[in-house]
Amino acid sequence: MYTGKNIFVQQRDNGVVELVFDVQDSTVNIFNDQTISDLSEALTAIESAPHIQGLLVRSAKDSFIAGADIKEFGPIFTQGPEKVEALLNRSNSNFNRLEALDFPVVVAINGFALGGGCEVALACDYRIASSKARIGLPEVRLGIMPGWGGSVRLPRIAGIETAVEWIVTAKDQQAGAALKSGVIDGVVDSDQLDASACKVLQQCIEGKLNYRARRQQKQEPLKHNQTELTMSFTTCKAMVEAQAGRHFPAPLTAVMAMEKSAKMIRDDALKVEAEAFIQLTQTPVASALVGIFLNDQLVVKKAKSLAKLSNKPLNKSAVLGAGIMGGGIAYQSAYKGIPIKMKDINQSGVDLGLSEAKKLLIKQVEKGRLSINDMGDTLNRIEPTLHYDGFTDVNIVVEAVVENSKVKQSVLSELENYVTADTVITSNTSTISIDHLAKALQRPENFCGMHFFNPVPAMPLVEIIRGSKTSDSTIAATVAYANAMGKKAIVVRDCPGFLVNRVVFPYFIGFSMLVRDGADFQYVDKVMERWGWPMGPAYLLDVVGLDTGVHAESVMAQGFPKRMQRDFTSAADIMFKAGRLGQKNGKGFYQYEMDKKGRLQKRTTEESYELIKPHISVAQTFTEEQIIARMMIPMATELARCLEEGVVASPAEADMALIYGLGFPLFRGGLFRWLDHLGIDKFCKMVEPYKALGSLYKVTSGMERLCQSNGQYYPVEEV
Amino acid sequence: MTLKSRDAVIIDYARTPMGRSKNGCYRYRRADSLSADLLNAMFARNPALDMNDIDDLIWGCVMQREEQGFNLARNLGLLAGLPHSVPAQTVNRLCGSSMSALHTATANIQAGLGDIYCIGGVEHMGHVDMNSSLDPNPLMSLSVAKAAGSMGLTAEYLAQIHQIAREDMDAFAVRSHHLAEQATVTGKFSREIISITGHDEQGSPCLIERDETIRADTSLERLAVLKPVFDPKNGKITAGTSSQVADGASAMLVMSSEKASALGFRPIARVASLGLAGVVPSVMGIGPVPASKRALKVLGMELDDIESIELNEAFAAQSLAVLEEMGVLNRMETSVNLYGGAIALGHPFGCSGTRITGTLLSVMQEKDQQWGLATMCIGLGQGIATVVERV
Repeated sequence: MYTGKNIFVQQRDNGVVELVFDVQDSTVNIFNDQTISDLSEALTAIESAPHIQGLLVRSAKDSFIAGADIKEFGPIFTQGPEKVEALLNRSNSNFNRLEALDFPVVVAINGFALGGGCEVALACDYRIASSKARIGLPEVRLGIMPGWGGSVRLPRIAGIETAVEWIVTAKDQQAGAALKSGVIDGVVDSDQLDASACKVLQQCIEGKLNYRARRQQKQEPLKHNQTELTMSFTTCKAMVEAQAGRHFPAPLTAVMAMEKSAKMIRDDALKVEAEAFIQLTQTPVASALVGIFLNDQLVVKKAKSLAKLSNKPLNKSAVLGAGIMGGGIAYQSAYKGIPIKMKDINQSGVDLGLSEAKKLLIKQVEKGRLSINDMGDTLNRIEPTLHYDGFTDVNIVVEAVVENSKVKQSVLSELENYVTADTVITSNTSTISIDHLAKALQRPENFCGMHFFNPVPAMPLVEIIRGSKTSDSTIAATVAYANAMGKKAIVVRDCPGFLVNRVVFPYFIGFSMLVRDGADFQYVDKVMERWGWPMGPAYLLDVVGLDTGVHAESVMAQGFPKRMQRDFTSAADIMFKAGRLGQKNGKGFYQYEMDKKGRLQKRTTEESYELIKPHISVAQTFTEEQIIARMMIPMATELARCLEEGVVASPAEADMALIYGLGFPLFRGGLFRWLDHLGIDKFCKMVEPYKALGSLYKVTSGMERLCQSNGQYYPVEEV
Repeated sequence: MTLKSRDAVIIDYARTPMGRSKNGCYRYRRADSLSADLLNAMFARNPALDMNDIDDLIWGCVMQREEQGFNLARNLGLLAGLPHSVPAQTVNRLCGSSMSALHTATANIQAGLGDIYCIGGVEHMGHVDMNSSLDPNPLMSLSVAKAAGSMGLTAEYLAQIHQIAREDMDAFAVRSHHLAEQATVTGKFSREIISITGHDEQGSPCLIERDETIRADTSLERLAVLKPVFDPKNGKITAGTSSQVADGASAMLVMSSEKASALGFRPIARVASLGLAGVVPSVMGIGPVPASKRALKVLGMELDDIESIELNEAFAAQSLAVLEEMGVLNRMETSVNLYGGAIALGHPFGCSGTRITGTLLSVMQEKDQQWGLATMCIGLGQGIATVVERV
């Protein structure tokens, strides 16, 4: 009846017609410009055809519809409200037409139905899903909200609270949960889906299922009276405000739009939704989050294609050094199904690693994410050992012994005797140069860095460091292992600190100088946390451990003496010398005590202030802007330098590394995104007054060039 | 007959088709949703009723936890869209719960406390397991057998006392299924059953139009091979001769006769008499006997005056013992459970009281009878009975 590029319509039996999403040249269905045009034409064909009894909406792919094409629509947001509105109107008009057909419409959801995919399903009369379907409205993750009727239809189908929960948490729901919430009407086995949807259509056609009543309900105002409405939205808004945080306006905006349109008919409510949607697309948060989404796709795509180049098997791995880090790595590998040997020189080390893995697994079981049986299987995939026996079966080894180059070199060189000429050897060093470590190896081409972040299961980033002798196949195999572990791999070039630590230590130096010059570290923490960091610098140093921090800083200072060698005693040095190691021994800049529920509580202590006092100038007040500038300039200039030196391949990867590895504020979209938003010229001006603080407070040549050309770091070229 | 103004009269009754609890047609529907759908469908066929005038919504339910907890009646009333001003309570007298709801409505009407009551009951035995989250007091064993809490064992006990043969139980069960099937195919349930949405075996939503519990092919041969479930060694009672574990809801619209006539409703019957009794816990199954006697005594009537009896078939053995004790065994074929009973239709506890009273009315209307008795046994030793007189 109709054949478009992304949609076709054809007759089935008994007067039933099917509208099939089948986006060309793609493995998944997405709502892009073409799909929207096709849908409009398909509906015209359907509307004008005689004798149709019912319409089946389905997908020809393995999944239903993954959502809107962000790559295509993201840029439209920047073209102003009129363009966004036009985009919304096109889809809304399609969906309203679908809802106005003179016969029942049943959708068969065979996999992901996200965003626009979910919204088109909501516009149908009955929703039947396969048991593997996942349905949701993830828009707020992009700083926006549903714009194709999701915030209008969902509360009218399933109630305010379900709609708020789905939209605000942005989580996709399992088919069973969606059925329980009343968002979908049936869950069947995949192979039954088509037959089942047709059966439902037949029941509608025979008048046994009242599709018109459901359609009516979606077009009417909510049934709440004013009191119920006020109660409902007051509690929802309070919940959202408590969870979303002040940097993320989308969730609350979505809820307020739903409140405003609650007593409106569908068409008026859609206008309210559109207004709120458009408003959100014009916020910097939306462009930051859309940017992150696209950057993430780029990082994942790059890692996938790198891994594809790997010609090495990945059947078994090994980790050397079974501490907290080693245990975490072993857990992650085993959890993702790759058996791993965990070797230590001491039984106590092995025990520590195993107990770390057990602790992580129990947490998963308690959260209901893992069965006891799977926990047992996972633990059995970890093979603790004190010897190198059987290491010839190992495809990749992660060395995670103490952060000392001599120890590491000797361990790596010993290891090389027990593995095959094919085995990839990696070091989980956080600062030490890969080329330096490689000197101890006979096969440096098999060697690279594989830098995990603590805690391993929680932190998505793995930095993969290419040494000057590292082979492509070693990089490919290591990226493949990181992917298999469910991590985001970003390949960087070798230098002390690699990417993340190379830029975080300048930030710490900025902090040390601020404290030296009389800033209150607690105030600095507060300012930086308000700026969006998960923790301020003093708190972060406590969490990392002052011993680790001081040691790593000295490595960095050796590597970059011009910028990172301090000529004063830092507050971190003082803490370390006083035996205040941070959270690990209960005292650092702050004091840590367990509360009754066994959670570590951070408290202020005079002791640390007393210790610092002799080493600082007169206390002085810095403005918030000064603190932000003095903290962020060193990090920004160092990151720009990394990009210019080719340590990291693109601004996108640099931004994602800081987000995944450091928890850089999401709503800022990354450091380069922040610079773009600020304007490079403004940044250069911001640096001016701080020149005297040293070479970390000097814009790079690349930044200067960018400033002169009035340029930006984004958009980046397609990889 | 002439109705007194404060007589409680039944205006309408309805039930859902009964669903099997194990992978049955209501596995994706909740107790409150079934009830709300049923209520709304019953209201739809009584357009003269202004829902604002309902004095109370009284719903029977036994396992009042999870989806059946937190005053189920109020929950389902709100879900059904009843005006907020209509109150609601959930009652629990175990198997007699929704019959108790009818009694409360009747008593309130007779006392002049109200005029319009919406009553009913539900049990989703598939979602809310009857055996979990129970915690009987061990000290009850100071005077009562612990096994009195196990209905199957009390029925075994009754079977022993009354020397009921396994063959008779099986025959009773076959009768139940065959009569229910016959009633279904001849449209005898068309008044009481309101079709509602459920799901087919695959999981597609569909309209459920008939009881899923009836097994038309039940035979003596098939039942004979079943093993005893409650007392595997010496027992006689099998799953086939017990009421089925099922999901379902039932409802009734009850008014004072004066209100009914003022609103122009035609009553089907008047609730003539109510009977309650306590019996020895270990033979709880005999409860209908004293309860029925009390109800009849108030009217000055004998069982012989009753044309149709609807007895809840908790177990074939228990039913036969009751019928024997009542002295009506000889006229079972003409006046007892003529459309089958809980062995075929299932026994969703909270639902059953109004369900059997409704089915009684279906039988009485079909046969144009005047007097009927609905009665049931109740766990831990009680009986409940209702005498209705057709108007």
